[in-house]
Amino acid sequence: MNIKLLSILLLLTLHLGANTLDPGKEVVGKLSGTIIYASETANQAANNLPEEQHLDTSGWEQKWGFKHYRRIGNDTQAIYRSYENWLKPIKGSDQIMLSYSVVKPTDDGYEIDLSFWQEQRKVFRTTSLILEEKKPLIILGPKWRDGQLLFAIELKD
Amino acid sequence: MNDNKELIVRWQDGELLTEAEIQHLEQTLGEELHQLPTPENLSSLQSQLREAYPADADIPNADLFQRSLMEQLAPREVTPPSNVIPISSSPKYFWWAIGSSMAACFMLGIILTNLMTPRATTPVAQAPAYPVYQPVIYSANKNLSADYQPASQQHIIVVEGLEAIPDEVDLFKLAESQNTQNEY
Repeated sequence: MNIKLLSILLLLTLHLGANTLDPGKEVVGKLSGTIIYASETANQAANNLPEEQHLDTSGWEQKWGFKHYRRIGNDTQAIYRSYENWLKPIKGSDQIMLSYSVVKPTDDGYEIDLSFWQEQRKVFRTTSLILEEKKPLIILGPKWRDGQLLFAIELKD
Repeated sequence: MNDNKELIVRWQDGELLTEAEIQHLEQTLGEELHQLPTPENLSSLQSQLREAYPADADIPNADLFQRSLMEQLAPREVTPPSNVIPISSSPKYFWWAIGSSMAACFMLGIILTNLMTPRATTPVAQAPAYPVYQPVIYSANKNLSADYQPASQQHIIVVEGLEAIPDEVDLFKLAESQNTQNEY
């Protein structure tokens, strides 16, 4: 009995030690992902984008016909120094997700590798994209109902 | 000893030796001199061999013997090394040298002309102001495309050809239910 307890304690100690000693797990920042429903008609969309979203939608009406925007869900996750992490703004659905990992820090942000996933299938990957504060990445994603889903990704303090 | 050998050979060949030379042999060799084949014995052996072997018989392998003898006696021809070929003796190489020289002059002319031609005053096409992060597609769907569109305030990636989310999927409800669960 004593030997079993000692073994468990030893394993726990080693596990905790490994976690605390792993510099790759250091949190170097936060990444926020927001799913926005953009449409021409206002039946389900409303202009309720918060100020901190930092989206510049000027010209989008002419370009893509978006007049109304409505935030569906948001997820904010840690950016690890060397580990991949996920953004899943609609928690109850695997329709749209994003995986990301840091390549290296830059002066005002991070160079990040991003992969866009739809229904647990990787759709595309972009490498070494430099994300800076107040300069988000917007992905024009799949169509839904009368409009289209946008995935806005930006750095958070 | 060498003197004795010479004297013995001369004696056996039938040459006449002086008395002093014969005395010298008798003194140095003694009884051994009488045991050596005498000139008479050797001449009789020679005649016996001549009689036993016909004079007109062919020499065995005479052609081979003659050819090898002639090869050894013939003066060796001095041939130049194969990799040294005088240009004057090979018209092919002469024309090749002329042709390559003309080609070199032609290329030099082109280079000099390019160097001396004044450059166009119009500026070279400038690199794009924004970096291009062209996405890589991970799908077998040929209609799928993802294009990066740079802008000053934000990055935009336009994905086309994605499967539309079914209308019956209520994303608002899914998001709200999750938020409600989190509140509780």
